[in-house]
Amino acid sequence: MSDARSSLDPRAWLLWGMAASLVPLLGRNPFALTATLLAVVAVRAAWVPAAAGVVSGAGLVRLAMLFAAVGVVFNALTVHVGDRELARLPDRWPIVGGALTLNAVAYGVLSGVALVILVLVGTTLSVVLDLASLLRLVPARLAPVAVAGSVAVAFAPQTATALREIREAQAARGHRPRGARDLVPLLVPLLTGGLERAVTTAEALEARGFGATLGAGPAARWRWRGPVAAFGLAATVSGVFAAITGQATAGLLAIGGGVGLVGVAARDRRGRAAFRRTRYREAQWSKRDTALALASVATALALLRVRATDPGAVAWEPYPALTVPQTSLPLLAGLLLLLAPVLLAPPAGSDR
Amino acid sequence: MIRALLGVALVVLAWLAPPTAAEDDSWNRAGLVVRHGDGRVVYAYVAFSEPSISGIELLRRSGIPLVTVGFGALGEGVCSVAGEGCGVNECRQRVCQGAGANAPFWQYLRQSAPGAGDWRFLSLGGSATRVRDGDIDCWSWTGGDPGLPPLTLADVARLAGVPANGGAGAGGSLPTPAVREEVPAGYVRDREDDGDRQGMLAYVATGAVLAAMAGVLGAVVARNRRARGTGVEEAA
Repeated sequence: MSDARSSLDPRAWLLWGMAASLVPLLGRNPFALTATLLAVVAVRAAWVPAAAGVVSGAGLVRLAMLFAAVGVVFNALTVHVGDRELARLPDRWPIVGGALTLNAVAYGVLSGVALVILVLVGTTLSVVLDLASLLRLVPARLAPVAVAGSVAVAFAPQTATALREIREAQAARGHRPRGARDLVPLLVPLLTGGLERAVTTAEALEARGFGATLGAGPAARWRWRGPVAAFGLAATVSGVFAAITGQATAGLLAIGGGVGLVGVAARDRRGRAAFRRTRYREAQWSKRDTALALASVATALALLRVRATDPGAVAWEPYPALTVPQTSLPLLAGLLLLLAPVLLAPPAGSDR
Repeated sequence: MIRALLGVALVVLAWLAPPTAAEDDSWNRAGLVVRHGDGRVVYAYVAFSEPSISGIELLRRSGIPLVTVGFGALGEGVCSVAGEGCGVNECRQRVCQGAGANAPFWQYLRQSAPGAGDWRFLSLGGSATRVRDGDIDCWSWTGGDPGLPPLTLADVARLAGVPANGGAGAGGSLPTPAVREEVPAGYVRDREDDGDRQGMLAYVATGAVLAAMAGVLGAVVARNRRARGTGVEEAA
């Protein structure tokens, strides 16, 4: 399964995910959202086998649809703006009092569709990518962070599995939970089991030299390395703030200085051995990956270009008046490229 | 005798004469000034029966198209006034204020006294600030100076085109708000209503593209079903 999933390079898939997420993140144009939704559902149908069941994130998609429905109701009750009034709640009612408008319902529906698209993109990527291939993409310097992240990501499913096993074991012993007090026999083993797993994982990581340093150790490090890195990061953040608030020159100077200081601190290799990661099998970049990457980049560029020249084609507001949304054929042509993974999918029924 | 007749005639004439804005004091009145980023200024003269109303309510009662979003107990944020401002999504995130130092947003201002000319920010915002009889509120879409002259309520009433009777409603009902827009010299109005309208052909083409995408989806689903059917037959 893992081999089949990685039949397209994870970097190409990440580019596709980024391109597919742009429309719901940047606007609420119904035409663009519908095109994106159709493309994402088609890619999901082509790549995620129906038998995948639990791993395909179908439950998550259903949850997103529920949240989207709640969002429609919430938007209709809290935004009392628009020219198409459907009903009116008493003004004295806090927050929900006022006009209920078709405009607010329309915006809520579109926001719900945007949420479902983002969840569909995420769950599709979670099936077609595997964690190991993603970890390989992390730079060597961030490998400890990536390992810690992967351990954290694995926590939730491990806990769910442990809870199911404990519940089955307790049920076999005749335990029937009826109230809050009856949860103790479930939660205590879950907690102790979690602690045991944490200790086991820590020992396994330590046995493999995780976080260890070769050489003279921390005492030999440059003593000002930490303060210089912290000052550099602070200067960089301040520079970014200054740049986006209109003080471009001061901001760019601060960013340049800050990045320089962080670089100086990062270059200090005293007291640290240069670990070299080795891999059993290097990822192969094929022509199909190039095709998917190019299609994704073209989609993103088309979207950004249309957004710059014709913002209404991406963003649409039903307030204060409900108007017919604009459409952009160049944008739709760009969104057609989101279907590229469908063309690159393996034949149906094959082991993906 | 003649003096008595003249006196009675004056009393009758005074009774018959329509009330002026100054004389009809049964309603409270407030002025509203909306200054757009392109220099247009909308003046409104609004009557209300309550002792005070909120700044948002004054805007709403003026009839000027208004879009706000609620922030719960913090009140409402003004997103767009008369079509100028930002969309609800952006408004929810940062109440239309862009990243630049001079990025415009809807500034809410009032003079320390009518005619003083010292327009000051009302930091409590439109929901919490109360408008009472004689107040003048200003909303200016700018990132810098609001660019407003000193104004009294009489100035606003004149600029809003209030009729001589103060805009009194029929039968003593609440006077309708008087609203008038002043445009700067040489201003050319955008014909956005006509210019942005797209032809039917564009929508037909859009429908065709969406139908093609739906067709691709249908083909993928059909292929999956065929493959599943073949798999079941092979297993059997």
